[in-house]
Amino acid sequence: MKAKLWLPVAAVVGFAFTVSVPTQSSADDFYKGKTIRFVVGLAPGGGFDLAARTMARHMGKHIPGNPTIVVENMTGAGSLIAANYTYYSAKPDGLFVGIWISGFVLRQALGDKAIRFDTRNFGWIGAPTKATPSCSIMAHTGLKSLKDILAANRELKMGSIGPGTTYDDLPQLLNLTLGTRFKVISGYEGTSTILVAMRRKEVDGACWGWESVRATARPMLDAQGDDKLIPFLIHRREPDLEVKDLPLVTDVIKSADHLSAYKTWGGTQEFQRPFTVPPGTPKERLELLRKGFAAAMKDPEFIAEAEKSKLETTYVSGEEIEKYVGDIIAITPKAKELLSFLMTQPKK
Amino acid sequence: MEYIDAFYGGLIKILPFTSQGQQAFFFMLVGIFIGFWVGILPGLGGAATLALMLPFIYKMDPTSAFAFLLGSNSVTATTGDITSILFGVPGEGTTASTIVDGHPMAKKGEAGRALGAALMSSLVGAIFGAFVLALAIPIASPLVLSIGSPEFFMLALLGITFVGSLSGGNIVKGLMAGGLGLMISTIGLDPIRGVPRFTFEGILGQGPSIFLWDGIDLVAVTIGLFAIPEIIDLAVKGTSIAREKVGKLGGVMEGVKDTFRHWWLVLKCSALGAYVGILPGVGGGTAQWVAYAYAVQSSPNRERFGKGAVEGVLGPGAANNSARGGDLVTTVAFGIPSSVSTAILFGAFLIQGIVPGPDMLNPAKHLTLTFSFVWIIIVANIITVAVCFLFLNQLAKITNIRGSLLIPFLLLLIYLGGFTAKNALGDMIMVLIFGALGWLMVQFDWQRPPLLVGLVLGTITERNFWISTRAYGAGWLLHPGVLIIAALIIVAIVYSVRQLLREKNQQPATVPGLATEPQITMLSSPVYRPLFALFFVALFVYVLRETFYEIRPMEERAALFPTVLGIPCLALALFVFGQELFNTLRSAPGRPNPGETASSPERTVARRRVVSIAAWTLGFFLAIWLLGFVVAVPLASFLYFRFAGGEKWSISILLSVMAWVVFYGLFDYLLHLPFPEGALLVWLNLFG
Repeated sequence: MKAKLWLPVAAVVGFAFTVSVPTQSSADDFYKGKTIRFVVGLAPGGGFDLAARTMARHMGKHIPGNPTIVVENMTGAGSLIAANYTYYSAKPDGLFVGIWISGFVLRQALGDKAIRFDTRNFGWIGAPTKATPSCSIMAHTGLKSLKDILAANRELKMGSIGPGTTYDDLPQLLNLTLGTRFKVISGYEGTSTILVAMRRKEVDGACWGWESVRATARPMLDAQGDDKLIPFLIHRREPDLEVKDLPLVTDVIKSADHLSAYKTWGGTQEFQRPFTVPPGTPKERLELLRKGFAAAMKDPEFIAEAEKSKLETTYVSGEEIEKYVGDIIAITPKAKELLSFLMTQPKK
Repeated sequence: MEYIDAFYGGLIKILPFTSQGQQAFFFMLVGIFIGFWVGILPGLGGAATLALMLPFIYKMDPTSAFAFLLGSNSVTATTGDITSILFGVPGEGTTASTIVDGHPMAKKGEAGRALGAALMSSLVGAIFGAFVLALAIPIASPLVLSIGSPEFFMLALLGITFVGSLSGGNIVKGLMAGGLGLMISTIGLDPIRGVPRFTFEGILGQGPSIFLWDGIDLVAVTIGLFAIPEIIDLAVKGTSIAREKVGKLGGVMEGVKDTFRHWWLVLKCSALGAYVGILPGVGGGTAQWVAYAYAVQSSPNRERFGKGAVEGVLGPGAANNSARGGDLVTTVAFGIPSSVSTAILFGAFLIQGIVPGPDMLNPAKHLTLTFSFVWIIIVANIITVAVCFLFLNQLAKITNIRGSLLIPFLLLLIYLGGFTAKNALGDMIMVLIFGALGWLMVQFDWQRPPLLVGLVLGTITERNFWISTRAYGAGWLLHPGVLIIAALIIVAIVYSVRQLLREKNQQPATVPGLATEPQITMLSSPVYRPLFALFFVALFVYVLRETFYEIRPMEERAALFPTVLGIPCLALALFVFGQELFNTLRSAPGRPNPGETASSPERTVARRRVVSIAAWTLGFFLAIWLLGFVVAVPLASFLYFRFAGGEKWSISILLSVMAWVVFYGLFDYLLHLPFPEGALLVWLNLFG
């Protein structure tokens, strides 16, 4: 080589060596100056999206390195597109977080052909809320409690948004396990539409999350006369006046098989809006994300924002979610058979 | 009275006379500024932007927060008309109808007039809608409660009969297009049991087919159907958008005068828009077409429509704004949003700790806030229209720029608009598919608006049919509301048919001064028309086959709608095929189609240009898919400017850089829209 070229070449080669030798970078430094992507499977404006964005505003400062967090929506197929993307397409580098509905875990357990991933392989960061399914009936039916309903033994119309929701699933589950005669009227565009239908006496009641009932149906809970909405059954004890003495579903279901089926279904209610990372994400980074998530949930600023926007928050850790997921996937054959009515598509 | 206090108080709160008012006014201005651009740019959907604005409202007081959000939302329907008129690309989903007559006006050199008419009627519509909001909330409750699912189903049917008026003469083709639209609305998971319908799992595979589960996006269809044929037309003509130069008569003030000349039409369409907006779950998307159909029905010389009749701009222009006011009524009174943007507004209510409902009408609670919404809509639109008028005439001049300079920007807008509807690449493919369909429809004289009406109304019709049947059994057929609307439907049909017969008997009078554009039909060989009709026949055969063999075994209820639609549609398709075949055989072979005035060499040039622009359009898409938006935009633009447009190197580079800066600066850097990495780059990464 010409003498003139020798020095620069050596410099380049030497430089190349220095940068390729792995430096002692701890996982702690990994997030410095980086951006984490939160990909939300449902549309902007709803509680799902709200939870993700609120968390995004507070989680960064609880992760060493203070990464920025940006939120994107990847809607479609009820968040299945986002879930698929998280599993198959996203880079498992700790910079991608997918948020999709926990219902897919149950669907996998039931053998739904559309679920092409194994939910046990996701990295579970945590969930910011639990759901408390409840059922309510309108006063215009003349019924006031579960006992009344069982005694009356007549068909009651329950409004629903569509298959795969508590609106649709729970009344059918109750028909199966308690012998109620709920007729699910599906196809309403949203909770508010069902509430209007109730006032119009087009439907008699509905089953959905208590957190939503007490927020959006407040006027109806407080109403008098025919327009009053009366809760009669709930999944878990809540302190509010209207529900603190209500029977719990698990108390009223007698048969062991039925109870097991209900508990499997109920498993997905225990962790809602979960934050996940793609399979193969390095363990240390998942740990950092879990710690950041937990700390953000305790952050007073986060709590204040959540309260202001009436966002229900209950911390569920990643480890707890792993257990729930395992339990659901380990569904007993009998429970699977009982729950098969939830499937609307041909099985695997 | 407390109401008057609240009415007045609502206004004071947003004007900069108090310190709180100053804050609210400031945020309203910011909202207006954002809404202005959101309306104009197809890539910025009103919904996505509202979602981005949500985080900022946490710290604001309720009046400021809503001044900010509503200021933006109420303005997008006004400025969206601008892009529709100038470029034939819908700036917003709710301004698609303005394209049908607004863009032909621009092509005739009357862009200024169209803009003036659209903006003025938008202002009138917005104010009307705001007053509807103010007056209707107290009576909204009984009004909404009286419209049950059966009545809703009948109203949707009534809407579908409007398809007839949008058919521009050939009612059978119009009905066919409407039927196709209704059929397309069934694609996806059925709303009752979640059974997949027409999702092409066999061809696409499980993964990609779930993209179709939510159905085909209205925005992608609209952009494809209208904007792509316009681009092809622009490239073929080789001129600027405006083909002629018209003096003062084409200017903005003329459009303003038109609004007052057709005052009653504007008011009636505003009322229509507001009422349709009040219907829960229905908003500007439907209102615009209802108003357009009404404008067609109630104006003399219906053949003018689709070729640049100003009434076709005035009607929808007013309605898509007044519908916003109507939308707000249901959102405020019931918490039932009618569109994605009102859904986000509803979310904003919750964030602010406000529950829509009786509280909003309670003077002790939020009545003043409710009235401030009314004033925000009015003031925001007055400001926007006033500002727009300042440079409207300059804006109209864009139509004088030669097409080759505009095409890359237009393609960019089209693809952005398609992509950002759901942040999905699949929607861009939809744009292409419907673009091809739209172009063919134009070539063979098929009307496109009925397709959109069918698409919009299909889901509403099906859902409400099932709810009614499940909730009431067959009894709903006898509900009084249902019977009344049924009578209305029959009246509407009879009226349309009579109108049609009357017009057929009269000689179509050539209106002096209305130069109809010489039609250079590409596919002028008479063989193509029946072939296109045959495509419809084949399509519905496929639909019925799928329904009987795939859907019905899975869930009978999911198969009902496609069956009830498919059979008449197949019959219609066969009829149209017969009609086209008859026409072909009747005309002597070799003689060009009626209306065909171009000579043979012109046609060869035109044919070559069509192929060329089709290739470039496809090329843009491939570039975006393989290289990602950030690289594809400047690269493809540069290649087009230089090699297709024949522009100088300096201009090509300059414009390409401009395109890149605007795109990157706004969409990527500022808004962080999640553009996918180019597929090629991803593959290379796998190896590298």
